[in-house]
Amino acid sequence: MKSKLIVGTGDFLDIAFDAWRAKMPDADVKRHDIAQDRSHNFDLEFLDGYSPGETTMFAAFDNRFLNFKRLELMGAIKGRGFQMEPYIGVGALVGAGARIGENSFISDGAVIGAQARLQHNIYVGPRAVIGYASQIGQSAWIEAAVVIGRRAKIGAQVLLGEGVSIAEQVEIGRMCLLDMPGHYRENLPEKVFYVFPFDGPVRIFN
Amino acid sequence: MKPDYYLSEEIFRREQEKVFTRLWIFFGLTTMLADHNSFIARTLSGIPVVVQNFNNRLRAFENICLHRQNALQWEDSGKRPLVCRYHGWGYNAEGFAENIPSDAEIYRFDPKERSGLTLRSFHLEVIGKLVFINLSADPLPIAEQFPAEFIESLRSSSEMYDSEVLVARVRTRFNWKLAYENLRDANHPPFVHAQTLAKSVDFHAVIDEAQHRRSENVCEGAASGDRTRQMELLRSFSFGGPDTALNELKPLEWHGAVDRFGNLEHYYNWLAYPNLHIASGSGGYSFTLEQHNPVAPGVTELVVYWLTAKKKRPYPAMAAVLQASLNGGFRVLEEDIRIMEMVQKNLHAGAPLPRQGDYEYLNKMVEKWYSDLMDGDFEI
Repeated sequence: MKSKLIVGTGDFLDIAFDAWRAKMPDADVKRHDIAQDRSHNFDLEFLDGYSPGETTMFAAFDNRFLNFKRLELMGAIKGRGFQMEPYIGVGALVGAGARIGENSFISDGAVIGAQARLQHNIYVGPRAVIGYASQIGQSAWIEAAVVIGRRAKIGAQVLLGEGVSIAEQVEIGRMCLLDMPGHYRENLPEKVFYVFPFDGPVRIFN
Repeated sequence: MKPDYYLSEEIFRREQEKVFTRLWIFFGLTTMLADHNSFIARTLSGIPVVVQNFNNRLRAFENICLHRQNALQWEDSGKRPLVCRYHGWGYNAEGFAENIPSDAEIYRFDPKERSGLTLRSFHLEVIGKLVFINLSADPLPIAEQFPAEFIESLRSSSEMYDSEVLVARVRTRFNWKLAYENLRDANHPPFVHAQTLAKSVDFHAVIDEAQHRRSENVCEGAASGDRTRQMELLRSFSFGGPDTALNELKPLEWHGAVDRFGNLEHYYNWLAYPNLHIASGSGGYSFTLEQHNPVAPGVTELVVYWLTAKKKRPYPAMAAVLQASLNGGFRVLEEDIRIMEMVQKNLHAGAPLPRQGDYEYLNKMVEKWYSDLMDGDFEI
């Protein structure tokens, strides 16, 4: 059996390491707390000590920098040929026909509706509910207990914070950050942030 | 200043009339108005204003349809023709209601009334990428409000702004003047921003003896109705450029993707009277624009723009850079807001007057000028 290396930092590294170890009790599961230099570049030298033929990997980095850092870390590992299968929690429910991309993490207690499409590198927290036939873009971060209605479309690198629910068929543009509890019923363009303490949406124009 | 200036509804109304409807007020960035039909809509001194691009010509109008007073543009900014959503009245670059659906059939305005259906327009000036509006029908020249070298500094620095900009709004519970008294006070950062800004910049309050003597001369005199002298004083309230050297400029990956403004490892600071502050805490790699809009004596809407210097190559993660600036930069602003809200909360009619030291010569001069304007007989 191949060994598994969990690469990341902080709480998500702890969570992912414990989860994979529980899921693969007989496998050699290790962890690597990755360092960054003053310019926030990852130190990737440790990868030279591993071979894609012998080790699979999982990138466990949090949602900072609009999820770019986790995407960057995944890309660096994937680019060296390592397999990065998704983690599906033991207590997660995954409906018929749902698809989950590489390096995604579906926490225990999450519900993935039938026919849902989850791209790569997505985090889904405990008790989150992803509706029937909804679509979640790469590197999205969906906190615990978030509810996404059926056929909703969540863009790449979106962050949905605690207490957020998305109405059915609503489309949220990429890189939106919805961190104010509430029910979001209207489509949002990309790069809209609902964050404390600002009045109304914070927006990026270009 | 005396507490009434921060508390009184009557003085607030007088201030709106004497300051905010007479002076040039920052309205937005040309980068948000780059395309035909792009617009910015905001309320200045209680008047809803829209600035709209008509085939690369920027025009400012009252944002109220002449038919049933509906707002013509609903969003803060966007791109759509100047057409009312209520009954479809469409306006052209002159503000004329060029298209009224079923005009002849159901409205039947007489020709004279029909030809006069034109939105109220406002004067607009562009300095670099900064758009200013003046609500007065007969505005003072912008060069009377800002010194020539300051206009040039605003122009050259804003030309370096990137088009990708983050805009945030927050309602604060203090009078707008407190924000600028605070910004003109170089002695507050070591106390208020000890864990944030003051770690990267050593701000020191210094006494400029010449300015101090000037402030004594200004403040000792009786209220002056000499408009030339008062306008000269007004111009001295707007200044800017490199301020204090940064202790350290931490290199960040995105720095290589932008064309930096200047080459000094300095904190840059621009103050445009009455209510615009621009800073670069990154030695010209990025900028923050803060505008404090008076809403009521004790309420100010703070609008903040975060942007980097102009990109010289695509940088896909720039949205994340701006979002990180929002998190970090707002921490500094929150520290100021907390202090100013506490000052405002404590003020009452009998509160003691501020006892200012010699380093506060600029605030003393602004105070004198402002009280002459509010209580004297000089007009802008």
